Amino acid sequence: MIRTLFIGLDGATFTLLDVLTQPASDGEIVMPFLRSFIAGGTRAVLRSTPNPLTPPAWVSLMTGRWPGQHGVFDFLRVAEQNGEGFTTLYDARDIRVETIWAIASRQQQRVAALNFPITAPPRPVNGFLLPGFVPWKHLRRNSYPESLYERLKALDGFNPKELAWDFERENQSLDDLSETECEAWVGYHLPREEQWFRVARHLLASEQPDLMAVMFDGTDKIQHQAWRFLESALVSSDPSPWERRMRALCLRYFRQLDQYLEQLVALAGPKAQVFMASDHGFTHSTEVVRINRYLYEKGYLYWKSSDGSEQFTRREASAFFTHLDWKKTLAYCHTPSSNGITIRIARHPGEPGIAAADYPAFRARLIGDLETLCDPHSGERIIRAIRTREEAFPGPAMHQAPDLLLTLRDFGFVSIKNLEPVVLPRPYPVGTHHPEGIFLAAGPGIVAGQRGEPCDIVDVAATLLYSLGLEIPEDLEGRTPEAFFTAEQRVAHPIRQGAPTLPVADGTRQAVEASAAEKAKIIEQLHMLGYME
Amino acid sequence: MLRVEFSIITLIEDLIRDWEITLDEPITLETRLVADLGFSSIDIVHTVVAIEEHFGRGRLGFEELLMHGDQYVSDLTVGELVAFVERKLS
Repeated sequence: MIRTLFIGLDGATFTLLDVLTQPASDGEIVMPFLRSFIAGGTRAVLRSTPNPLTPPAWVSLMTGRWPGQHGVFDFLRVAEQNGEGFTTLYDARDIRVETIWAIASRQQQRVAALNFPITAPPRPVNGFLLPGFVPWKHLRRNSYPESLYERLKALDGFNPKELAWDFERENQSLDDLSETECEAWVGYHLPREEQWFRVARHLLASEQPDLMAVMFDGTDKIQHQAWRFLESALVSSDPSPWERRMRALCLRYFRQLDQYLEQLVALAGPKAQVFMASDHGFTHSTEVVRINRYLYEKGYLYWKSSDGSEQFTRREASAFFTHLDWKKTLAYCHTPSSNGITIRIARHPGEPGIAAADYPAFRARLIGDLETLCDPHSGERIIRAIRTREEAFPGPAMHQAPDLLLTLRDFGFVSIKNLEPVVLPRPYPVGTHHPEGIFLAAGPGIVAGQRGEPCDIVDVAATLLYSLGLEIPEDLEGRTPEAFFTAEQRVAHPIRQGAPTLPVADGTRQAVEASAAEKAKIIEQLHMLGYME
Repeated sequence: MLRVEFSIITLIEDLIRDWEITLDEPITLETRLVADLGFSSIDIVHTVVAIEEHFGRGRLGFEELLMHGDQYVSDLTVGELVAFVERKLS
């Protein structure tokens, strides 16, 4: 029997959903089911991870731990070896703590988890796992059990090429996206979501797992590319035909998503508690901030001279960290999505970097310099917040995090390109992540028509475990928001704290490298998602 | 260490079995991942993970294989993969 249905909506925000669940000027409600779902349950703002980014945020949601505990900070990680920087892709082996899929499985709960990032290679569960962010060519081997893939292939209309991330399609630069390509990009996510919906529907109907979880990520992808056609304040009052088509296509996506939500909730049945959450919210960025260029101008970073090779030219185009002069650079930002700055410490005499003893003073000076990056017209700080890693990422994995975490005044992601000027207005606003996502709940035992106090993303794991009738491991950092649940529910099913989670086998890692070509492709994908200029 | 050779060739055969590619010849130590099998960069990432998972010895430090000096290699043969894994497991 399905006790708990969880639907992830990547990047979903009340900024948009509150509009789409109200009648438009023509009277249409784009998401009528979501409107009734919210009215019949509890809603709350869900505060994301310190860096509101897909991998760390979803892993926090899946584990009930902050990134300093679970160990995932970004899509990519840079490991310095032999004086060079190697790019590392985070994967499931990096997660240092138990996921709710594992916690529920070992307590005889059957689970199905679909399309969640950083779940490949899959770890065994009592049920089914089909990871997100995996190309179709590798989906079968990353399905759990592997027989799941063959089973899905027998489904009418199942198309792994539509379902999985199309790395070739996403291997386009945002800068080069024509109007036609942009339209195709949004359209591409319609069949993708349909595929995930069909898989979820199939497992819901045929397996009835105790915990059914599926994540739809088209919300995030579309909002990155098409936010200006969605946010009311940005929608043109005199749209061109193309702008009109773009908005119509975006609304079609959300209309379709609403139907999926309705059908999944109906399939789960009236006895199921249903939760929906996003990993972060969304807003728009209006300027490019070239943080490595700023570090260069302040004397912390040095660029590498071109050797004339094709490889260097390719890197120059993507302007990634390996353009740096690693012998002289003291501080740098390794990926735009990290919004972080890494300080290099010389571990041994003769190594590049600052002496360990100089770290506090060096970091304080760096923070001071970052604070002086201001808007020349208004004097406003470009970087609204600068947090040390002790503040942002406390925990055993902290040493893998950037030394400083930056929050830009418009919540954008930094650029690491070697271009001038440091701060440049964008030609048009682009979608970017906001630290406040959504948390929705409805069903038996959940208070109807309530606006709850803001929750933290780590609270979702505790909430789902409670909904399953399980004890909350004492070492989870999240809590179950009691106010979501009716008094009757809380009396009948009190929240119980239990034994700590179990250690996981992998937990720590050595560097897994990516070739330059791999790195370039991944970077280009991040381009598409708006993490780069 | 024929076991490693057999395991990696079997693994790659399994990896590509639904890739809709037609091979004129069986996979051998001379087969090149990019030129002969059409591997993309992300395919290599997943192959590395699959190999590490298969042998169950954690990360094997593939950067040593994929980096020559400060340059990244543009292709790999199956034989190079096998030799690298054999060395790491020995």
